[in-house]
Amino acid sequence: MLYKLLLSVCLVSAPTVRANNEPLKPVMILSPAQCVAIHQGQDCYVDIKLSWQMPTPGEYCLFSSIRVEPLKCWQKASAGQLKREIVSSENVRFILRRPTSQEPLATQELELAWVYKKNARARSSWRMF
Amino acid sequence: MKARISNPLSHALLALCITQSGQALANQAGASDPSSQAGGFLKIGYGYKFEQTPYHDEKNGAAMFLSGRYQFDFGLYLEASHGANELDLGNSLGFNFYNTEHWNFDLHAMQAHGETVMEFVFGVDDIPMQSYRMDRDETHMLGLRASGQYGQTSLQFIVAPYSFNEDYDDALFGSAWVAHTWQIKNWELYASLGANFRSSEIINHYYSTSSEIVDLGIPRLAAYDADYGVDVIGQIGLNYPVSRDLLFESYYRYTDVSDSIADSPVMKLFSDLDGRSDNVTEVGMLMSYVF
Repeated sequence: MLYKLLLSVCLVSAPTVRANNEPLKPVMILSPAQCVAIHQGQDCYVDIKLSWQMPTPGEYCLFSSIRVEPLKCWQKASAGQLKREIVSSENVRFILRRPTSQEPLATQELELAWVYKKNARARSSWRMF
Repeated sequence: MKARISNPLSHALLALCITQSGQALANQAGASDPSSQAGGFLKIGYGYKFEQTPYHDEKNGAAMFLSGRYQFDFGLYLEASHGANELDLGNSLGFNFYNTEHWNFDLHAMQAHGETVMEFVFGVDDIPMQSYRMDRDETHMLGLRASGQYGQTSLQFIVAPYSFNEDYDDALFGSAWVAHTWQIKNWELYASLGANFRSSEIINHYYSTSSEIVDLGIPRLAAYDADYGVDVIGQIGLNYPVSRDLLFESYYRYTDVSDSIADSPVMKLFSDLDGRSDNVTEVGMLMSYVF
């Protein structure tokens, strides 16, 4: 009787134990999250580190908004990491999805910023007289 | 001899530039028309500066830098130039009246020469016997400015035939500049070359030997009648964006002072002093906060 009671307690509590060891939803971390250029409209160069984690292993590909082909794909993986130099003059969106699907599973955005706003005199940062 | 840039008008222009720039940049979202000339910036910097010049004793140490520009929707603009990558010619005021795809044309009032103070002390065996002081106010002039932009190359031309200086009317100031920037990753390298022309009226006003001193009969301070003068200025610099608001700047600037100025007896006297030189050399390294 005591044994059956203990077994029931274990069966009831097992899902809670499993939730503490595995992520319940996709995770993507981007570092740094911002790239700064001097003038608006200039290409900005940044070395990014992007990490992702999925609840279940599978085939996943990482895409960006500045190129059609994937940055990298992983086979039978539940986590991955990418280090790469990104060059862009606008915000870049990173999307993790399965290669055969368009549904984004996780996303992050690299924000572009600049010191000088763009106008016709923007280059007056160094006036000449 | 001291060359200072300070008078109530300059301070007022600078204050207006600071306040209007801050307000304008806070409302930057309103000026979303890419063809709009309205808007501006304000940059305050602090860092290290080395300066060797015939105009004052050598400077070598911490320094403040400030520059800014703001243009209203209707074309009026204010500029403050006390920054790192520019000649220290004070404040400007103007009206932008015509623009093309590559050029901006302005009615432009600027400082053609800074204020100068020359103090002479004459004596025998280090005993001062007579002193003489010659003050000259800064000269503001009115003219036309054309600024062009072709890719990473900038051009600027100024012709200013009207002087606000009460001591002389007929004078001409002109300048011509070309500059280019290169982007190396997030670094910005730039180089510029320019020339400033000042007519003989301007040169004589600041650098001729006054009659009071000529009458003293000192051979080194004989009478001098200057011709027009052309300063040639070359500059290189390297900038890097530390953050959205912080900019690292460094620069080297060399000014070959015109012979018309350098040959002046008073300038020869001052440039021979310890810590002074015939030409102007300036080096700076600073961090700037950009509003």
